[in-house]
Amino acid sequence: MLSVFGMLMLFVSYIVYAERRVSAFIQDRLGPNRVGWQGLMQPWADAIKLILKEDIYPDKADKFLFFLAPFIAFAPGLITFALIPIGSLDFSDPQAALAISNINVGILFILAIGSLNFYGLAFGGWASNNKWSLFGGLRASAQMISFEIAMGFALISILMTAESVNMNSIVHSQTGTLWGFIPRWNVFVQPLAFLVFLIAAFAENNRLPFDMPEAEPELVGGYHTEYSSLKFGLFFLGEYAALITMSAVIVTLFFGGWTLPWVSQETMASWGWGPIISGLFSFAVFIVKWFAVMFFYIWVRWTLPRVRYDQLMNLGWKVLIELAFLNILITAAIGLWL
Amino acid sequence: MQFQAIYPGSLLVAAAILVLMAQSFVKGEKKLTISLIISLIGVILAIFFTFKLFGVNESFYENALRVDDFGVFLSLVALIGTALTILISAGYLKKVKSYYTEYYALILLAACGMVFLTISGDLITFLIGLEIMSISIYILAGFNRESKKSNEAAMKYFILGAFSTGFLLFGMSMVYGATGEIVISEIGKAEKSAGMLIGLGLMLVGFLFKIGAVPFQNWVPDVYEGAPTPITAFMAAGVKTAGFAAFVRIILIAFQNCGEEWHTILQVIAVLSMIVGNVVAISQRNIKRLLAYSSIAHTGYMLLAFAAAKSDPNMASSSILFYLFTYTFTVIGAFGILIYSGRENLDDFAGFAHQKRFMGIAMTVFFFSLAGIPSTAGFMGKLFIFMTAIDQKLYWASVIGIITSMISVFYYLRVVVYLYMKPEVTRAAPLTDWNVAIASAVSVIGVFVLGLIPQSVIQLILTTYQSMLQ
Amino acid sequence: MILDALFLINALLAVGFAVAMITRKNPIYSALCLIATFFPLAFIFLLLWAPFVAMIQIMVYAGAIMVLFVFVIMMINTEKQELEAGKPKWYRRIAGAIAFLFVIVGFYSIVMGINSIAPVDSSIKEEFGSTAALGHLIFDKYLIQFELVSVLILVAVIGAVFLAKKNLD
Repeated sequence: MLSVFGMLMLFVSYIVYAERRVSAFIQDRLGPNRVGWQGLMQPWADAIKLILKEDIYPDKADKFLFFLAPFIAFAPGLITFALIPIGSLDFSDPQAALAISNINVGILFILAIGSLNFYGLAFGGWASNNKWSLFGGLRASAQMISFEIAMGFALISILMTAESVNMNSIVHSQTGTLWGFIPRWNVFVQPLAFLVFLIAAFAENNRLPFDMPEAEPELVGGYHTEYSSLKFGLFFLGEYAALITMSAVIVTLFFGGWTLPWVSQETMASWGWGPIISGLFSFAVFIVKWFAVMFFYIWVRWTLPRVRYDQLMNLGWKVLIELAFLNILITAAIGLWL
Repeated sequence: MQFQAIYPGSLLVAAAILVLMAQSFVKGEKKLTISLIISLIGVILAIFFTFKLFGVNESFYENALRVDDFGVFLSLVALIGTALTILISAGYLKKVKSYYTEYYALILLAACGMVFLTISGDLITFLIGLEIMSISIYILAGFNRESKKSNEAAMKYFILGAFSTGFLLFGMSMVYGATGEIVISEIGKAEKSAGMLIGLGLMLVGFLFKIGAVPFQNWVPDVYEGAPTPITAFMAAGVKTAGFAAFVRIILIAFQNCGEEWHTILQVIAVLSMIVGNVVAISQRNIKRLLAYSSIAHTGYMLLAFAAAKSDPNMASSSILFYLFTYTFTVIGAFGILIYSGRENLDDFAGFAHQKRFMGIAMTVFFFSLAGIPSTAGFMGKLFIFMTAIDQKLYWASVIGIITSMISVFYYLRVVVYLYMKPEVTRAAPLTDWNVAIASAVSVIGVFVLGLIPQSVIQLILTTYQSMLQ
Repeated sequence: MILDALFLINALLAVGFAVAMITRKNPIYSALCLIATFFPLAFIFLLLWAPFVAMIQIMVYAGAIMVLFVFVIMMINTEKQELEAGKPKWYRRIAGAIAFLFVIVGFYSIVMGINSIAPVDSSIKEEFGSTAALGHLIFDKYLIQFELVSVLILVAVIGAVFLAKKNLD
């Protein structure tokens, strides 16, 4: 468990680096390349810098909430990762997942806890006693509510095809092929659900093009305007931790998790590998997909402009929810008559 | 044939959705007409299908619905009340120039809640039916969004109503905890226990609030006055009918082993309601407020019969049913005339009967019926109730009831005196609307039919209690 | 034994946060305490073999409803002075005394009831409280109630839209 946590923290620090390098590449710049080889030590330098900075409490801030908020924002991303099957120890046993925890209501747990990091944003924004921060917090809550619904409904259709809410069963339901040549991944089985879920996930993570709560040009820094030092660092890391976890969720739900495309469960089981090799191999597969999704996240950030607030709300309430409903209807009809 | 049990309710929901959808296709005054037609057709179909449920006497959907003559009769009363409310609403909406057809949709949905409330077989259906009805009415009470009084009414009703639902729910959970059952007839088989009694007490609070009995009557005048007049009528008739339906069913069936306890409580509350309602009504100059206090008093009369249910539940429930039927016609008719005349204050009614002769006569009939003058429905209802109470030796309560009832004659007849014997004051011409006129005519006929030839209705009612037990 | 201890801890936490919620003067803290109440509650549901309900408890209440609460509190942003309540009137004192009585009764029943609550009951099947079992109940046994709830939500939606909309035509 500690190792997974450590790995996650490492990933979190390096995805920041990755983001800066990729963005530099997209914008035809160099990006951080001075600290260490190709700038690989940059995250450590950043961390030291953050720790050494002065920890400021604004004068009229609500001290307790101001202190509490970064932790609330940081924790959910890490907690929910415990539920994600990042590999399998035994290909023949559907429940032998390489995950910290394998509970029966896995996906619900992820949704439940994942939605809590909003409170970090809202309380942080409120406690700062600053107009911009408050606006950031307000926007975070409105955005959260609007997109959580669409996300949940998109999930329902996934659960209908997987016939389970257990993360591992969802992965297993995606093995095999569709008509012999397309991997039976949910992204192909449920393209509409994928689209809705992806957009909602961007909004949930407050990523561009939906980073309303911090929107620098409008709100200075949004909810974390007043934060400095380690507390700012926690917000920052929390955001990326949520991003990493969300990418892992997307891989698990839509891209078959740790399974190989075109290779059926039986074939994999027939290789007869031991738990260590199986675990490492499936984890490697998972990581490839995972990095691809994370790269996509960064790619989108530096490609699309920020949408306006009302457009965001319209998208959430008037487009995504309806699409998700439609998708449930279609899935149910197909499930009933085919 | 499980479906037959939900035909009326589903038809009402379908009509409500149609009304909402019609908004997208028609605009302006046409919208009102079309919504009116859709709603009327929906309610009439629902009445038709409810009528066909007479004599079914079965439980449906794993005891979720209990279709018996008792429930069906009260469904019918509530639906008749709904139909009349829709008719008088048409005139009202035209008068206040409100083109919001959500109004009709909400009335239909409230009626759907009432139907399920009256035929609920377990506590969950009961609670959801009650909530569908109550929430629709909260919104309807605040329908005049610009009027402060209307907002006040909605807010008061909503907050207090939500609170009382909390009591009801808490009581239900107590009862469930004590018996492990949610089906009403199964709860009745359980032994009396402390949990049951706590549950009974809490549920009584919720019920007494909904039907507006003392000591939970404080909301009634303000809400009745502030709400749009047709909604006030709907509250007085429909909500009270459906509330009593669930009240009688749950108390008589689920708490049949706790008779000793509710018998005493209800007797006290009945007496208090009659006194408070009738005495305070004397000083009211606003007719809506006057009718609000009178409705508290009428609740008191019905509770008096209820208190007699310990030893003779059949007569008690029959007299309550009959009273609700008569009260529906009377009170909706009276509010209909208020809408027609476009006035609310007693002084404004001076000489109204000379201005509009037929409406004056109709109003006289309704107020006679409220007062319980012989040959009207109100008389028969009161006769039935006091007979039941005296049969069961509730002498003191009956005497107080009769005295307060005599007091009430004073303020009812005062309205009639203003109508005929005061010099005419010139006011804005009353609106001529056929819908209101039809509703008044139907109510007048109803009042006289129930007052003069009630035998067949009473025959029907007398078998309803047995149907509940089957 | 360990289940009893877990139940006791969570029950005390839930009650403690609930008490804290009504005694805070600042509404944001009340909201925070209410959110904190949901977690021990969810845990108690877990102890009662109802993981689905536990998750829904957090998802719906902490994840959605309280978000709206916090949103509204932040929007209104009540000033300190408005929050200062006047001197407690006599009926407030009585209400407080009654509430205190309830708290004592609550604690008493928790302590007394702990032996009667036995989550690991051999008669409870493996799938009790699972998502599938709950689904069967809702869509089979309690179908009519479920459908009625949808009507209820329809009413609420119509009402919310009607009351909040600026121009209806």
